[in-house]
Amino acid sequence: MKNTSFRLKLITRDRTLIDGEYAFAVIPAGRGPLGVLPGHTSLMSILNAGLLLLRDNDKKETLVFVDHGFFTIANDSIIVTARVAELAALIDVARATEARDRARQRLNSKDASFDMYRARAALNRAEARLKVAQSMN
Amino acid sequence: MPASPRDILRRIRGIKSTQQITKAMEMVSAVKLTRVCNQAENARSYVDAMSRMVRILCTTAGDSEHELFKERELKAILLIVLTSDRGLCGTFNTSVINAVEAFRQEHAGRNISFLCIGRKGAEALARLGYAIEEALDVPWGPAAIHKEVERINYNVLGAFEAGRYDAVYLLYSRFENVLVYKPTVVQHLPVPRLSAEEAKSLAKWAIDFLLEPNFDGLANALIPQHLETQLHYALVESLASEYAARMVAMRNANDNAEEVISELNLSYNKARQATITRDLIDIIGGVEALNG
Repeated sequence: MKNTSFRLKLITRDRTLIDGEYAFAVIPAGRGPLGVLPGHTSLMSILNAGLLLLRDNDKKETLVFVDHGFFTIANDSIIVTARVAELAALIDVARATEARDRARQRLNSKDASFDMYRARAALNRAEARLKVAQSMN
Repeated sequence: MPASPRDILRRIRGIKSTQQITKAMEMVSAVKLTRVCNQAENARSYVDAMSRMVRILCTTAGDSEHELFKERELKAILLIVLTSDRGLCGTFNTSVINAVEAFRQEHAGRNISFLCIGRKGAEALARLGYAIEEALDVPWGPAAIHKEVERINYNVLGAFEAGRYDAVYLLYSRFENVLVYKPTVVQHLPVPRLSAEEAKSLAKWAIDFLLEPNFDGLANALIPQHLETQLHYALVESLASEYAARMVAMRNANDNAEEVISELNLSYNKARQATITRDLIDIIGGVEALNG
Protein backbone atom coordinates (compact mmCIF):
# COMPACT_ATOMS: atom_id res chain seq x y z
CA MET A 1 0.00 0.00 0.00
CA LYS A 2 1.16 3.46 -0.74
CA ASN A 3 2.30 5.55 2.15
CA THR A 4 -0.08 8.27 3.21
CA SER A 5 2.53 10.27 5.04
CA PHE A 6 6.22 11.02 5.19
CA ARG A 7 8.54 11.95 8.00
CA LEU A 8 9.93 15.44 8.10
CA LYS A 9 12.70 16.78 10.31
CA LEU A 10 13.56 20.44 10.52
CA ILE A 11 16.96 20.89 12.09
CA THR A 12 18.61 24.16 13.05
CA ARG A 13 22.09 24.66 14.40
CA ASP A 14 20.94 24.45 17.99
CA ARG A 15 18.08 22.01 17.95
CA THR A 16 15.61 19.86 16.09
CA LEU A 17 12.63 22.15 15.72
CA ILE A 18 10.22 19.74 14.04
CA ASP A 19 10.17 15.99 13.78
CA GLY A 20 6.92 14.42 12.74
CA GLU A 21 4.69 12.69 10.21
CA TYR A 22 3.04 14.84 7.55
CA ALA A 23 0.85 14.21 4.56
CA PHE A 24 1.77 17.26 2.55
CA ALA A 25 4.41 19.95 2.58
CA VAL A 26 5.33 23.03 0.62
CA ILE A 27 9.05 23.69 0.72
CA PRO A 28 10.59 26.95 -0.53
CA ALA A 29 13.07 25.28 -2.87
CA GLY A 30 15.65 27.05 -4.97
CA ARG A 31 13.39 27.17 -8.02
CA GLY A 32 10.27 28.20 -6.16
CA PRO A 33 7.82 26.55 -3.80
CA LEU A 34 7.79 22.81 -4.11
CA GLY A 35 4.76 20.75 -3.10
CA VAL A 36 5.69 17.38 -1.68
CA LEU A 37 3.44 14.34 -1.30
CA PRO A 38 4.40 10.89 -0.03
CA GLY A 39 6.43 8.93 -2.56
CA HIS A 40 8.35 11.92 -3.88
CA THR A 41 11.45 11.21 -5.91
CA SER A 42 14.88 11.59 -4.28
CA LEU A 43 16.01 15.18 -4.36
CA MET A 44 18.52 17.46 -2.77
CA SER A 45 18.15 21.19 -3.09
CA ILE A 46 18.86 24.61 -1.74
CA LEU A 47 16.28 26.19 0.53
CA ASN A 48 15.21 29.75 -0.17
CA ALA A 49 14.07 32.24 2.39
CA GLY A 50 10.37 31.63 2.70
CA LEU A 51 7.46 29.70 4.05
CA LEU A 52 7.61 26.05 4.93
CA LEU A 53 4.08 24.71 5.14
CA LEU A 54 3.35 21.36 6.73
CA ARG A 55 -0.01 19.59 6.76
CA ASP A 56 -0.52 16.45 8.78
CA ASN A 57 -3.12 13.71 8.30
CA ASP A 58 -5.68 15.64 10.36
CA LYS A 59 -5.29 18.63 8.03
CA LYS A 60 -3.65 20.60 10.76
CA GLU A 61 -1.17 23.07 9.37
CA THR A 62 2.15 24.29 10.70
CA LEU A 63 3.86 27.30 9.19
CA VAL A 64 7.53 28.00 9.62
CA PHE A 65 9.75 30.73 8.26
CA VAL A 66 13.02 29.20 7.09
CA ASP A 67 16.19 30.63 5.61
CA HIS A 68 19.76 29.64 4.73
CA GLY A 69 19.27 25.97 4.33
CA PHE A 70 19.08 22.79 2.33
CA PHE A 71 16.86 19.77 2.18
CA THR A 72 16.90 16.21 1.00
CA ILE A 73 14.00 13.98 0.15
CA ALA A 74 14.58 10.23 0.09
CA ASN A 75 12.33 7.26 0.79
CA ASP A 76 9.58 9.35 2.36
CA SER A 77 11.99 10.97 4.72
CA ILE A 78 12.64 14.68 4.40
CA ILE A 79 15.45 16.37 6.21
CA VAL A 80 15.54 20.14 6.20
CA THR A 81 18.50 21.98 7.65
CA ALA A 82 18.19 25.70 8.12
CA ARG A 83 20.22 28.32 9.90
CA VAL A 84 17.05 30.26 10.53
CA ALA A 85 13.73 28.65 11.40
CA GLU A 86 10.93 30.42 13.21
CA LEU A 87 7.46 29.15 13.84
CA ALA A 88 5.18 31.64 12.11
CA ALA A 89 3.20 32.20 15.27
CA LEU A 90 6.32 33.45 17.02
CA ILE A 91 7.62 35.90 14.41
CA ASP A 92 8.25 39.38 15.70
CA VAL A 93 6.36 41.47 13.12
CA ALA A 94 7.59 44.81 14.41
CA ARG A 95 11.21 43.76 14.13
CA ALA A 96 10.72 42.30 10.67
CA THR A 97 8.99 45.48 9.48
CA GLU A 98 11.81 47.55 10.82
CA ALA A 99 14.38 45.35 9.07
CA ARG A 100 12.48 45.63 5.79
CA ASP A 101 12.29 49.42 5.97
CA ARG A 102 15.96 49.68 6.81
CA ALA A 103 16.92 47.45 3.89
CA ARG A 104 14.71 49.47 1.52
CA GLN A 105 16.28 52.66 2.65
CA ARG A 106 19.74 51.30 2.03
CA LEU A 107 18.81 50.09 -1.42
CA ASN A 108 17.37 53.48 -2.33
CA SER A 109 20.27 55.48 -0.99
CA LYS A 110 23.15 55.89 -3.42
CA ASP A 111 25.64 55.47 -0.60
CA ALA A 112 28.30 53.06 -1.82
CA SER A 113 29.36 52.14 1.69
CA PHE A 114 26.42 49.75 1.97
CA ASP A 115 26.80 46.34 0.51
CA MET A 116 23.95 46.33 -2.01
CA TYR A 117 23.99 42.57 -2.34
CA ARG A 118 23.54 42.13 1.37
CA ALA A 119 20.90 44.80 1.57
CA ARG A 120 18.89 43.11 -1.16
CA ALA A 121 19.22 39.77 0.62
CA ALA A 122 18.10 41.40 3.85
CA LEU A 123 15.09 42.89 2.08
CA ASN A 124 14.08 39.56 0.61
CA ARG A 125 14.42 37.94 3.97
CA ALA A 126 12.40 40.54 5.79
CA GLU A 127 9.65 40.44 3.17
CA ALA A 128 9.49 36.66 3.26
CA ARG A 129 9.29 36.73 7.02
CA LEU A 130 6.48 39.26 6.98
CA LYS A 131 4.59 37.28 4.39
CA VAL A 132 4.80 34.20 6.57
CA ALA A 133 3.60 36.15 9.59
CA GLN A 134 0.69 37.61 7.63
CA SER A 135 -0.35 34.27 6.20
CA MET A 136 -1.18 33.24 9.74
CA ASN A 137 -4.08 35.65 9.87
CA MET B 1 67.00 20.08 62.55
CA PRO B 2 63.38 19.09 61.98
CA ALA B 3 60.89 21.85 61.21
CA SER B 4 59.22 23.40 64.18
CA PRO B 5 55.51 22.61 64.72
CA ARG B 6 54.65 26.19 63.93
CA ASP B 7 56.39 26.05 60.51
CA ILE B 8 54.55 22.85 59.68
CA LEU B 9 51.23 24.41 60.65
CA ARG B 10 51.95 27.32 58.34
CA ARG B 11 52.66 24.98 55.46
CA ILE B 12 49.45 23.06 56.09
CA ARG B 13 47.51 26.29 55.97
CA GLY B 14 49.20 27.29 52.72
CA ILE B 15 48.38 24.00 51.04
CA LYS B 16 44.80 24.15 52.26
CA SER B 17 44.27 27.51 50.61
CA THR B 18 45.73 26.17 47.35
CA GLN B 19 43.40 23.24 47.66
CA GLN B 20 40.44 25.57 47.90
CA ILE B 21 41.44 27.12 44.60
CA THR B 22 41.89 23.81 42.83
CA LYS B 23 38.59 22.60 44.22
CA ALA B 24 36.80 25.70 42.95
CA MET B 25 38.46 25.35 39.54
CA GLU B 26 37.43 21.74 39.34
CA MET B 27 33.83 22.66 39.98
CA VAL B 28 33.84 25.54 37.50
CA SER B 29 35.33 23.25 34.85
CA ALA B 30 32.70 20.63 35.55
CA VAL B 31 29.90 23.15 35.07
CA LYS B 32 31.43 24.51 31.87
CA LEU B 33 31.98 21.00 30.58
CA THR B 34 28.30 20.19 31.05
CA ARG B 35 27.34 23.33 29.22
CA VAL B 36 29.66 22.66 26.29
CA CYS B 37 28.52 19.04 26.12
CA ASN B 38 24.92 20.20 25.87
CA GLN B 39 25.90 22.55 23.09
CA ALA B 40 27.64 19.72 21.27
CA GLU B 41 24.68 17.45 21.68
CA ASN B 42 22.26 20.07 20.39
CA ALA B 43 24.44 20.69 17.37
CA ARG B 44 24.92 17.00 16.70
CA SER B 45 21.89 16.38 14.47
CA TYR B 46 22.63 19.47 12.38
CA VAL B 47 26.22 18.33 11.91
CA ASP B 48 25.07 14.84 10.96
CA ALA B 49 22.47 16.14 8.52
CA MET B 50 24.98 18.45 6.85
CA SER B 51 27.59 15.68 6.58
CA ARG B 52 25.00 13.42 5.04
CA MET B 53 24.18 16.02 2.42
CA VAL B 54 27.85 16.54 1.63
CA ARG B 55 28.29 12.79 1.24
CA ILE B 56 25.42 12.67 -1.21
CA LEU B 57 26.99 15.56 -3.06
CA CYS B 58 30.37 13.81 -3.11
CA THR B 59 28.86 10.62 -4.49
CA THR B 60 27.40 12.53 -7.38
CA ALA B 61 30.57 14.57 -7.83
CA GLY B 62 32.14 12.19 -10.33
CA ASP B 63 35.15 13.87 -11.87
CA SER B 64 33.85 17.33 -11.19
CA GLU B 65 36.48 19.99 -11.48
CA HIS B 66 34.82 22.11 -8.86
CA GLU B 67 37.25 24.48 -7.20
CA LEU B 68 36.50 23.29 -3.66
CA PHE B 69 36.96 19.60 -4.47
CA LYS B 70 39.97 19.78 -6.76
CA GLU B 71 43.21 18.45 -5.29
CA ARG B 72 46.08 20.83 -5.96
CA GLU B 73 49.77 20.32 -5.77
CA LEU B 74 50.59 20.85 -2.09
CA LYS B 75 52.91 23.77 -1.62
CA ALA B 76 51.31 26.10 0.88
CA ILE B 77 49.23 24.66 3.70
CA LEU B 78 47.20 26.33 6.38
CA LEU B 79 46.84 24.47 9.65
CA ILE B 80 44.13 25.68 11.99
CA VAL B 81 45.21 24.80 15.52
CA LEU B 82 42.73 24.74 18.38
CA THR B 83 44.11 25.02 21.90
CA SER B 84 43.06 26.78 25.10
CA ASP B 85 43.61 30.32 26.34
CA ARG B 86 44.62 29.22 29.79
CA GLY B 87 46.83 26.58 31.30
CA LEU B 88 46.32 24.30 34.29
CA CYS B 89 44.73 21.69 32.12
CA GLY B 90 47.29 18.89 32.20
CA THR B 91 48.74 17.82 28.89
CA PHE B 92 45.89 19.28 26.84
CA ASN B 93 47.92 21.93 25.01
CA THR B 94 51.17 19.98 24.92
CA SER B 95 49.54 17.09 23.12
CA VAL B 96 48.18 19.46 20.47
CA ILE B 97 51.61 21.01 19.98
CA ASN B 98 53.13 17.54 19.66
CA ALA B 99 50.56 16.82 16.98
CA VAL B 100 51.67 20.00 15.20
CA GLU B 101 55.22 18.67 15.18
CA ALA B 102 54.06 15.35 13.76
CA PHE B 103 52.10 17.21 11.09
CA ARG B 104 55.16 19.25 10.16
CA GLN B 105 57.24 16.14 9.76
CA GLU B 106 54.61 14.56 7.61
CA HIS B 107 54.54 17.64 5.40
CA ALA B 108 58.27 18.38 5.47
CA GLY B 109 59.39 20.72 2.72
CA ARG B 110 56.00 22.38 2.42
CA ASN B 111 55.21 25.85 3.49
CA ILE B 112 52.93 25.63 6.53
CA SER B 113 51.18 28.64 8.01
CA PHE B 114 49.20 28.54 11.21
CA LEU B 115 45.94 29.98 12.37
CA CYS B 116 45.79 29.63 16.14
CA ILE B 117 42.59 29.71 18.11
CA GLY B 118 43.71 29.71 21.73
CA ARG B 119 46.48 31.77 23.28
CA LYS B 120 48.50 28.80 24.56
CA GLY B 121 48.92 27.32 21.11
CA ALA B 122 49.89 30.69 19.64
CA GLU B 123 52.49 31.24 22.35
CA ALA B 124 54.02 27.80 21.93
CA LEU B 125 54.18 28.05 18.14
CA ALA B 126 55.61 31.56 18.29
CA ARG B 127 58.35 30.26 20.59
CA LEU B 128 59.16 27.59 18.04
CA GLY B 129 59.39 30.31 15.43
CA TYR B 130 56.61 29.15 13.12
CA ALA B 131 54.70 31.40 10.74
CA ILE B 132 51.53 32.39 12.54
CA GLU B 133 49.02 33.91 10.16
CA GLU B 134 46.52 34.89 12.80
CA ALA B 135 46.18 34.27 16.52
CA LEU B 136 42.78 34.47 18.19
CA ASP B 137 41.37 33.94 21.64
CA VAL B 138 38.90 31.18 22.20
CA PRO B 139 35.35 32.54 22.00
CA TRP B 140 32.96 31.55 24.76
CA GLY B 141 29.17 31.30 24.61
CA PRO B 142 27.08 30.00 21.67
CA ALA B 143 26.51 33.41 20.05
CA ALA B 144 30.17 34.44 20.19
CA ILE B 145 31.29 31.08 18.88
CA HIS B 146 28.90 31.22 15.91
CA LYS B 147 30.02 34.72 15.04
CA GLU B 148 33.72 34.03 15.30
CA VAL B 149 33.49 30.77 13.39
CA GLU B 150 31.54 32.47 10.61
CA ARG B 151 34.23 35.11 10.24
CA ILE B 152 37.12 32.63 10.31
CA ASN B 153 35.38 30.38 7.82
CA TYR B 154 34.80 33.29 5.45
CA ASN B 155 38.45 34.35 5.61
CA VAL B 156 39.85 30.86 5.23
CA LEU B 157 37.59 30.07 2.31
CA GLY B 158 38.57 33.33 0.64
CA ALA B 159 42.28 32.63 1.10
CA PHE B 160 41.88 29.12 -0.28
CA GLU B 161 39.94 30.28 -3.31
CA ALA B 162 42.46 33.03 -3.96
CA GLY B 163 45.12 30.32 -4.09
CA ARG B 164 47.07 31.43 -1.04
CA TYR B 165 46.81 27.91 0.32
CA ASP B 166 46.60 24.64 -1.55
CA ALA B 167 45.06 22.86 1.40
CA VAL B 168 43.62 23.66 4.79
CA TYR B 169 43.80 21.25 7.70
CA LEU B 170 42.14 21.41 11.06
CA LEU B 171 43.86 20.21 14.23
CA TYR B 172 41.69 19.90 17.30
CA SER B 173 41.24 17.70 20.36
CA ARG B 174 38.50 15.25 19.67
CA PHE B 175 36.45 14.64 22.80
CA GLU B 176 35.85 10.98 23.52
CA ASN B 177 35.03 11.02 27.19
CA VAL B 178 36.06 12.90 30.29
CA LEU B 179 39.36 11.03 30.51
CA VAL B 180 40.18 10.66 26.84
CA TYR B 181 40.70 13.29 24.17
CA LYS B 182 42.71 12.84 21.02
CA PRO B 183 44.44 15.51 18.97
CA THR B 184 43.02 14.90 15.52
CA VAL B 185 43.93 16.29 12.11
CA VAL B 186 41.20 16.50 9.49
CA GLN B 187 41.39 17.78 5.96
CA HIS B 188 39.25 20.86 5.70
CA LEU B 189 39.92 21.99 2.15
CA PRO B 190 39.78 20.84 -0.56
CA VAL B 191 36.76 18.82 0.45
CA PRO B 192 38.04 15.25 0.79
CA ARG B 193 36.62 12.77 -1.68
CA LEU B 194 34.88 9.68 -0.42
CA SER B 195 36.93 6.55 0.05
CA ALA B 196 36.22 3.92 -2.59
CA GLU B 197 34.43 1.80 -0.01
CA GLU B 198 32.21 4.57 1.20
CA ALA B 199 31.41 5.64 -2.31
CA LYS B 200 30.39 2.11 -3.17
CA SER B 201 28.06 1.69 -0.19
CA LEU B 202 26.47 5.09 -0.79
CA ALA B 203 26.25 4.85 -4.56
CA LYS B 204 23.22 2.60 -4.41
CA TRP B 205 20.79 5.21 -3.22
CA ALA B 206 22.66 8.49 -3.51
CA ILE B 207 23.14 8.25 -7.25
CA ASP B 208 19.43 8.70 -7.88
CA PHE B 209 19.27 12.10 -6.28
CA LEU B 210 18.14 15.00 -8.37
CA LEU B 211 20.21 18.02 -7.54
CA GLU B 212 18.75 21.49 -7.60
CA PRO B 213 19.84 23.83 -9.01
CA ASN B 214 22.78 21.62 -10.10
CA PHE B 215 26.00 20.21 -8.73
CA ASP B 216 27.98 23.45 -8.84
CA GLY B 217 25.19 25.60 -7.49
CA LEU B 218 24.56 23.24 -4.63
CA ALA B 219 28.26 22.83 -3.87
CA ASN B 220 28.80 26.59 -3.83
CA ALA B 221 26.08 27.03 -1.23
CA LEU B 222 26.42 23.83 0.77
CA ILE B 223 30.17 23.47 1.17
CA PRO B 224 30.83 26.82 2.89
CA GLN B 225 28.09 26.11 5.39
CA HIS B 226 29.31 22.59 5.87
CA LEU B 227 32.83 23.83 6.57
CA GLU B 228 31.48 26.32 9.04
CA THR B 229 29.59 23.56 10.79
CA GLN B 230 32.71 21.41 10.91
CA LEU B 231 34.79 24.23 12.31
CA HIS B 232 32.13 25.02 14.86
CA TYR B 233 31.87 21.45 15.98
CA ALA B 234 35.65 21.08 16.22
CA LEU B 235 35.77 24.16 18.40
CA VAL B 236 33.05 22.87 20.69
CA GLU B 237 34.81 19.50 20.98
CA SER B 238 38.08 21.22 21.73
CA LEU B 239 36.39 23.24 24.46
CA ALA B 240 34.86 20.10 25.92
CA SER B 241 38.28 18.41 25.92
CA GLU B 242 39.84 21.44 27.57
CA TYR B 243 37.36 21.53 30.42
CA ALA B 244 37.51 17.79 30.90
CA ALA B 245 41.31 17.97 31.01
CA ARG B 246 41.24 20.84 33.47
CA MET B 247 38.69 19.10 35.64
CA VAL B 248 40.82 15.97 35.84
CA ALA B 249 44.03 17.95 36.41
CA MET B 250 42.42 19.90 39.23
CA ARG B 251 41.02 16.77 40.79
CA ASN B 252 44.50 15.25 40.77
CA ALA B 253 45.93 18.39 42.31
CA ASN B 254 43.25 18.19 44.94
CA ASP B 255 44.05 14.58 45.77
CA ASN B 256 47.76 15.34 45.93
CA ALA B 257 47.12 18.22 48.32
CA GLU B 258 45.06 15.88 50.46
CA GLU B 259 47.96 13.46 50.62
CA VAL B 260 50.55 16.13 51.42
CA ILE B 261 48.32 17.52 54.15
CA SER B 262 47.93 14.16 55.83
CA GLU B 263 51.71 13.63 55.72
CA LEU B 264 52.30 17.07 57.17
CA ASN B 265 49.75 16.40 59.89
CA LEU B 266 51.67 13.33 60.86
CA SER B 267 54.98 15.16 61.04
CA TYR B 268 53.30 18.01 62.90
CA ASN B 269 52.10 15.58 65.55
CA LYS B 270 55.52 13.97 65.72
CA ALA B 271 57.23 17.35 66.10
CA ARG B 272 54.76 18.40 68.76
CA GLN B 273 55.33 15.17 70.65
CA ALA B 274 59.08 15.66 70.35
CA THR B 275 58.94 19.12 71.97
CA ILE B 276 56.76 17.80 74.76
CA THR B 277 59.18 14.97 75.40
CA ARG B 278 62.11 17.35 75.32
CA ASP B 279 60.43 19.70 77.79
CA LEU B 280 59.60 16.82 80.10
CA ILE B 281 63.18 15.60 79.99
CA ASP B 282 64.32 19.09 80.90
CA ILE B 283 61.95 19.32 83.82
CA ILE B 284 62.71 15.85 85.07
CA GLY B 285 66.42 16.49 84.65
CA GLY B 286 66.05 19.69 86.70
CA VAL B 287 64.16 17.92 89.45
CA GLU B 288 66.74 15.10 89.50
CA ALA B 289 69.53 17.69 89.84
CA LEU B 290 67.78 19.39 92.80
CA ASN B 291 67.17 16.07 94.50
CA GLY B 292 70.72 14.85 93.89
